Amino acid sequence: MNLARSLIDQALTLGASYASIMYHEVDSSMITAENGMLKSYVAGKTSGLGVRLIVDGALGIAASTTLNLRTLRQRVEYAVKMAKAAKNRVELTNLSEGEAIEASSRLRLIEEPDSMSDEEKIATTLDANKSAMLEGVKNSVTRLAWLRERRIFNSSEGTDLTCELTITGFAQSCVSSFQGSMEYFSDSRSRCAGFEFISKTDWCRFSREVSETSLKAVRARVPKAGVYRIVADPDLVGLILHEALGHASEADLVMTKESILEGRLGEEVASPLVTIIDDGTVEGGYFLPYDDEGVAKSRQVVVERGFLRGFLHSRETGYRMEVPSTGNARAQSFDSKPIVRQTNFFMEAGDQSFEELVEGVDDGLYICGRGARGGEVDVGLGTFTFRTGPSYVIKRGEVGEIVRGVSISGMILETLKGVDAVGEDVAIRTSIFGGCGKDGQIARVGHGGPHVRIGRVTVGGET
Amino acid sequence: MAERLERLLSATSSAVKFGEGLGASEVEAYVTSIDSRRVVLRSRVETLYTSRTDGLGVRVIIGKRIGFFATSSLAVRDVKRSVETAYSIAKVSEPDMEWFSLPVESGKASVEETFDRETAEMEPSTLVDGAAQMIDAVNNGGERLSITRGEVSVARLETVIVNSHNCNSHREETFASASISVKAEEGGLKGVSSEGQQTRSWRSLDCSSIAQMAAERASRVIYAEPVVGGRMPVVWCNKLFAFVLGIMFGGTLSADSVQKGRSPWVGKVGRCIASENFNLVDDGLLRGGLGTREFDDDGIPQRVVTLIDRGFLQGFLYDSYTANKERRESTGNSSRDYRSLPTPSPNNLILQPGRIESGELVEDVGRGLYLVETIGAWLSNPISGDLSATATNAFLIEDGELTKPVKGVIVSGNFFDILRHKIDLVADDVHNLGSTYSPSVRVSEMKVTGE
Repeated sequence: MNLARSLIDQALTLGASYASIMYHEVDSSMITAENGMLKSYVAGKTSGLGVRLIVDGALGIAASTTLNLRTLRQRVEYAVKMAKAAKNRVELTNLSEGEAIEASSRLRLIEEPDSMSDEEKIATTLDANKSAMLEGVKNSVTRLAWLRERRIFNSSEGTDLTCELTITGFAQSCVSSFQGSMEYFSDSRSRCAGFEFISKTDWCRFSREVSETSLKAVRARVPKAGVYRIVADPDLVGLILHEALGHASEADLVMTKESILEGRLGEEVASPLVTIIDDGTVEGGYFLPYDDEGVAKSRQVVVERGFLRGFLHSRETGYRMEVPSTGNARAQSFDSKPIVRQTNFFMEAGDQSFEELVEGVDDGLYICGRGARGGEVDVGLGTFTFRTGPSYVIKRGEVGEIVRGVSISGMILETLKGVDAVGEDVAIRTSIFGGCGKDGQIARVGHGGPHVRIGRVTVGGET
Repeated sequence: MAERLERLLSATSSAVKFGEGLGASEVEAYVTSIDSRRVVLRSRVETLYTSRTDGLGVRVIIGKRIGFFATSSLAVRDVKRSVETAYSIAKVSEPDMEWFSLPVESGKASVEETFDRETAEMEPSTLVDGAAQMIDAVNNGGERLSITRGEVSVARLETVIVNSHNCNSHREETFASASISVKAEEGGLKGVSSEGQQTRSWRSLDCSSIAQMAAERASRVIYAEPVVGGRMPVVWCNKLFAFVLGIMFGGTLSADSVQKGRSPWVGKVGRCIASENFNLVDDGLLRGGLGTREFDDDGIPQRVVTLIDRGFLQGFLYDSYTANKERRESTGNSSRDYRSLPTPSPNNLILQPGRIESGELVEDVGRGLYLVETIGAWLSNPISGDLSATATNAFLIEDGELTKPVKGVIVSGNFFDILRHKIDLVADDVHNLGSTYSPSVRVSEMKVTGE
């Protein structure tokens, strides 16, 4: 990109010691059906260019949606002036060693989104929506979404990267009622893939199953509160790891002592059965071969057989903690600053079958993350509370009746130390419908793991 | 700058013409251009941002079928492609039987102090000085204080709306804001406080005193503790009560939620829902108000809407679409982002002041709570009225005096019940939190769960 080269030269001439350019383009569409009717079809495209520069140790970001050289130059000039005005008042920014990379990485698609006509897309959404409208379902919402994202990164160090991906997804939510009580349940499936993911899946069946689960859940009882031995499904394992451990392993929070993992490198933080990885390119996850500082995303072992081995770094935190970046610097868009984020954060497989995990539970619960309704985490204290999705009772080694209104809470490190068996079946999921929020920025992530059995977990329910 | 306006006008009018040329029965183009400058800080200045972001949302209507597309690029080819996409979406959409037309009564009201030249053309050093003032104010407060996050920013916003009827409107606004969170630590204990100010001009911000205020409050609650709970009078400070009003009324007084049956106020117009001292208006013309504009996001002039008069519910907030559904006039409350379709929401939601000074709210309280800051209030439910918050910065009131600092108690009650029976005093100290304005109020009785 000549534009990029010219802006980098301008920044260097004005006194910057480093400059990088990120062009970011997102094309997104979503079709929503509600109660048998097409509710909306909205689409949009955002694109823009951001310049990140360091002047006398001050970090400035200049951005514009107008890609004309004159406008961009004015922005860069203003950013340099701000940086110079802040001299002596700034927290000095420096980056860890970086190497110049030239690469182009495009996720391969089999079917382009355009291969399916608008009429077919609407029909697919409507058919699934109607399949979910079983007796007792008060509200059925179905969404079909697809998005193409392109990032181009250039830096004064000579890096020149292009990354392109497509993600598609389908979501169903239902409100069911039974004898005056209501239950909301939703589930979705997304893939970094083309429309082959949509055209080759039976979405009517998917939506009907979501509907059936919500109808079963609304009739279900709430389990008695207490401490249980549980089997957690991959969705719940992913959710807990991402929120309670993943954020704590982000080096910026470690540096400001906001993380419970601060000062614990090399310590035993989980059961020896537990190994936790952050990887930019895994089956089922989001596609992140490079980060937004132009660093190749490495496979980072965070926990190895129970021992804390490393944190997630950007070049900024890497410099401060004297380690290389792990390729975890991500920016929501061209106008935001890359900050330390997880990519695909998950637990590695063990050797137990699902049946073996359940057999080991005499009186407990099989708790599922599908349809989880959020929660609260204190990264500094390591505490968590989640309202999970509809779950199941386990009696004498067998999965039994469905239960609703389950929440779990605990201390993350105690919970991970309590893992007494790990399944052989890893499932990692990402989502087009949501993302993880930090410092006002949203990032798409992947998370998951195998089924896991945990010795003692506090379950909230009926008291 | 004229060149920039030219660009916005050309993008919008060409979009409308092009859409009409394709055969659309109505077209609307809504465009915004935002210049934003921002300094983020902790104990020192951290990051300096400057950006210009444009956005265009195109609504294309074919009969009663609606298509929408949004783009951040105003380049001629992208504008054209956006209209084409919106047109093709309209073609495959099902007709909206309740569609009447795009707004036809466009115009401009007269407003004051919504644009400030100095703020629009801010010098880089001025903004950095503001950040430095905040840092200094906290540092001067002593070693135990630190800033966990701070920000100063200014923005200039230009909006143009053009539609197939007679709408062709342009407006220009400025915003300035400063916010800070401070932590005070001593002997292993800590207190936190956040403060902020949002205005229309840089001149009316006071960065130093915002930081000082947060620093003082954080220090004050280092040793604060929960107190014995029970039922007691609770005084809510102006900005905090503004936050509660925003949650409870921000969405529920919108005609959209009323028409969809999602508001607790369905069927309550003309009924008494609050005490006699409770007067709520939406004043879209308030001088210098954060939500004051000549026209709303449909292009319709903003106005003053009485919502609750001496306790009686008077009506709801309408945009053009929801007004058309009921064959009535819009109240000028259309609000949107270029990426989305408009919905009705408050412009400046104002709880009218009472006649007493805020100090009088505590005078005859034997034992009560004076709330300054809370967390978790956003989890309150505007449909059921369940209101609950955990105090992070409060005082115990004993015999008409603020005695000891308090934190960690949970204050709860039902907002509908409070509104109807328990707001016994309303002070005269109106302050804004964004575009919601409230005085401090006293609630005669709430449940406080403490030690």
